[in-house]
Amino acid sequence: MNILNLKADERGRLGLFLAFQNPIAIPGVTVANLLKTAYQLKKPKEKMSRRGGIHDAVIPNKSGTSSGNNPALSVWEFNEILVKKAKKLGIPQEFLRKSLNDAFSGGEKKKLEMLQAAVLQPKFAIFDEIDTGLDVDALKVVASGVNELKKEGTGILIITHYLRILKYVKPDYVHILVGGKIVEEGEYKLAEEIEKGGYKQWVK
Amino acid sequence: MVQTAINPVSGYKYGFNKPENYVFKAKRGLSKQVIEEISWHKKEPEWMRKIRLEALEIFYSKSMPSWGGDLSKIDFNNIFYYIKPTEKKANSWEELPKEIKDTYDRIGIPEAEKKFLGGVSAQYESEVVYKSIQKTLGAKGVVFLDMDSGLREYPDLVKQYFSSLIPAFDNKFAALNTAAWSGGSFIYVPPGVHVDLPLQAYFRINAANMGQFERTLIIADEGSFVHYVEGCTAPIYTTDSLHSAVVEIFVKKGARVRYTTIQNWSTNVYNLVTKRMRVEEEGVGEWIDGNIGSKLTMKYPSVYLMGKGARGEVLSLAYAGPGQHQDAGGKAIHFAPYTTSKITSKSISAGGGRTSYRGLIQIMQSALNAKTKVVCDALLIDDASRSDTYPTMDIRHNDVSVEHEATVSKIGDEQLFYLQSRGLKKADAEAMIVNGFIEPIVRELPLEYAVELNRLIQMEMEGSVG
Repeated sequence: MNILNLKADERGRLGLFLAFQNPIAIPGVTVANLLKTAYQLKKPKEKMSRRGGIHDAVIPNKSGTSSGNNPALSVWEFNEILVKKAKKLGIPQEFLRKSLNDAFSGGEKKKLEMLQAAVLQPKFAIFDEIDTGLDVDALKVVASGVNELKKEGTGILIITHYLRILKYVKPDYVHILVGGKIVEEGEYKLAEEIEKGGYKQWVK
Repeated sequence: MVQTAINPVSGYKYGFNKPENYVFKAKRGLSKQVIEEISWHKKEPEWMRKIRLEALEIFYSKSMPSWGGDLSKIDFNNIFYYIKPTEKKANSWEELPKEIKDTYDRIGIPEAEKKFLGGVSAQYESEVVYKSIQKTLGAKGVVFLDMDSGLREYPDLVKQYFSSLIPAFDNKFAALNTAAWSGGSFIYVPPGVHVDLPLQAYFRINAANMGQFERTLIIADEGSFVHYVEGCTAPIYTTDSLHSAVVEIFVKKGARVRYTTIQNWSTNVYNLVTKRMRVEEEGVGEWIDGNIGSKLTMKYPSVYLMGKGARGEVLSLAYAGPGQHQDAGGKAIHFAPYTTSKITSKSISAGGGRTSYRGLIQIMQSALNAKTKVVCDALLIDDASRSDTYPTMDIRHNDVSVEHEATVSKIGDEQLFYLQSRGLKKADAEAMIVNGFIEPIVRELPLEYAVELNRLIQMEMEGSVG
């Protein structure tokens, strides 16, 4: 399927997720409200047939509530899922009732991006510099969130400048991107090389 | 008269009408004779007849406002000034004529009543026909009547207060209302009485070319509290119609009155309303004024802060879609020391719609240590839409605190992209941003109004994005 000519919302509903580098503030729209709306837009079938899925870990089944028919999920059922996921990421419950990316610290915003991925369980998730602005504790929490998603079958793409997140999320592949083109491919070892010698040999 | 139920295209939710079945309908157009007929039909006292006729003269003598919106298309001679729907008012749902009942069924009044309402007074055409007041209200001495009954049963109170805060010479449309008024609510709350549930009234226009001139008078005696909620939905007609109301509210010492309006007239209605509260010592007067519908609205609810420590607040919300102009805002006039006021305005313009914030802050020399704050935020959905701000400040004293903040923003592409990347369609993303923008006002509304308003915004956004 060619997704290049699809609109952002069409890609989103197909199961593509982008965790933003600088998530923008939307005053008056709460984290919970956005997530509930977005969650209901996903069709259960799409969620089930996740590529490379190890388990079909549809949230409602896991929590033993409903059959996975998202639109029928009540506010309370959804809330239960949301609160559980937030707790795992160490996000205080009151954050869910606050405006999206408004008056949160950089690290909190990144955690909230992670929370959205965890709740929406996309087929593919792109994490754009999810590690910047995070202290070591927050980094571990976010990394464990990424690992869990991966375990549940989500394809993961992490964009980063640093090795430190890769200590907690072991990548299967490492690509070096220069000027929009992949100039080198390898495994975890490649990331270690960069950490030692920098990007010199790929940047002219 | 033949009516056409119109606008199959826009999908306007409440754009339906019912066949007319009226007992009496005054002739089209305005004249001394029409006004006298109205007064005669209502069997009014002589003094009210005189007030009406004097007001008519004032109406004739005043020129149309040259500011605000375009009023040139109003044809005063092509309007029905009085329609009496049924002979007798009903006290219960069952007693209502079927057509009226059907109409209300479609807006969902009975359900709403079951849940929340302390008393329903629904205005169909020019007169209140349906009204149920909880026994508890009566037991507390609270009077909640339509204005015509108020005049009959409490003539002395009406005579004392009627037109004393908004006299006929205040403006051309106040004069018109004073001459032709019909329906509206009359509320009296005795000293110290708190009315816990909001009192609600529903207004509709349902005859082509008719003006609706309801008149509301609220008197909250010392230390009392009442919240009045007025919600409007109207069917759509082919010719322009006029709604010109007057609301006078008296907040006595230590009392508090909140008046909430959600106005959703169909987009052919001129909505020209004068609303004013007089607040005495330590009293609190609050306007929550939501304008979603109408072709043109000109409305600036005001608070006159007369007593020491009186407080006034105006929350104004305006949405202007294609072909609409919302000229709204608020006024606060400080006469006494230590008075405080706050005006918050949030406006949204979409699909070529136009919003204007128009406000007045006046602090008299007598208002030592007065405090006021004005915040107006405008949101533009697209480049075709327009928003203007006309703030006036007249400060005649140095020992006062005055704050003014104004912002105009466009819906950001980044915000849209963020929400769309989560799977929301563009229209839904826009609606979500708009609902977030007005949230500070919506959270002050009774629950069912908040829900309805969010739905309306959603529908409007879908329409404007198309």
